[in-house]
Amino acid sequence: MLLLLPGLAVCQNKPLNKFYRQHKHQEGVRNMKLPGWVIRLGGKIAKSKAESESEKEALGLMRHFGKVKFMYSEDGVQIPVEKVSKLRQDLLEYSFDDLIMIRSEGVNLQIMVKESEGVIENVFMIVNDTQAGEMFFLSAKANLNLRELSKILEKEMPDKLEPLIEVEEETPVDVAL
Amino acid sequence: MKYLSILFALFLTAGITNSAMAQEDAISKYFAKYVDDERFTVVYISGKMFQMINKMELDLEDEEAEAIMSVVKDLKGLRILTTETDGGKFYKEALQTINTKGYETLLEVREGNDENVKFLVKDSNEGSMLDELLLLVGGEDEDFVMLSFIGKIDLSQIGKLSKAFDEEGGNKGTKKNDEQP
Repeated sequence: MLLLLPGLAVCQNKPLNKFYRQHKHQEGVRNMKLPGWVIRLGGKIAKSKAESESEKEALGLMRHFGKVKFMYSEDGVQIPVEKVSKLRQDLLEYSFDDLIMIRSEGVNLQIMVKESEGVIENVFMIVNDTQAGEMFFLSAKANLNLRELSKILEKEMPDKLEPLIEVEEETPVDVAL
Repeated sequence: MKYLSILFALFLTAGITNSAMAQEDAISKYFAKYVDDERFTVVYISGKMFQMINKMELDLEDEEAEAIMSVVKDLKGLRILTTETDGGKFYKEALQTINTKGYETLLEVREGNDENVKFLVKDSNEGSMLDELLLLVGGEDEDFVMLSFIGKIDLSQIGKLSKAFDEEGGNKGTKKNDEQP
């Protein structure tokens, strides 16, 4: 039974693995696959060099990440919108959930996660600019507890939210006759 | 007889739930129809995002941020669909697809066929809780905009939010833990 577990984990990311395999050797696409231990080791080294406490804490989150796959291109390589939509549909069937989707003037941003009982198990992000021909793909295995993430956010959150628009205060008009 | 009334009540509840879900589904379907259409700008923030924010149980020291979080935590989704072409056609189509009978109109502006604005809400709990906010804008030479907030929007929390903004505006930098003189 235990021997089957790694296989099951791989199956859960089947659509992402397939997408990565299909596009990583496309001309103009650069790809990188980093095993979890490299991410964790890199995180430790960066943490030891970090100066501020907040940087250290943010880098500490790296220990919760497993295998990470990147793909990027800046050379006019495009992934058709339909293929990204198909990947999204497949991921929804594999227990992933949409977090954010923004599409405007050929730029497509998609972030999806697989979360279970307050723990993020997988993160997928794609930025696909069909007009500029730029693309960034990231798929990461994780074991990131939302509570832990919230602790960092609480510290990093600015003391006061900055207003989007500065509105000048009106001077009161004296209406006394 | 008692069992019959319970059964009837159950059917009635199921009917209401189904109709609410069907309505939400109509917006989702309309959204899904154009989600891959290049002419549209699409923004979708899922319920999962709001759910995760809720699960984080952020303990923010800023009153404004906390007020925003309390509004956001029960949201189930935000959808924005806009296009600069055929605003009138898409506006009419949206009204036909989404049955607006279950909504109350908050605001309606119509200037011939040139500009139409409809701001609709669906509420429960005698108006203290909104289930949905829907904004439709469109016209012959105008852009088409559909904005839909789905989820529990507590009006008292909105009141707290505006109060927090007012206080912050008048009393810059005051934190909730700061002692008042």
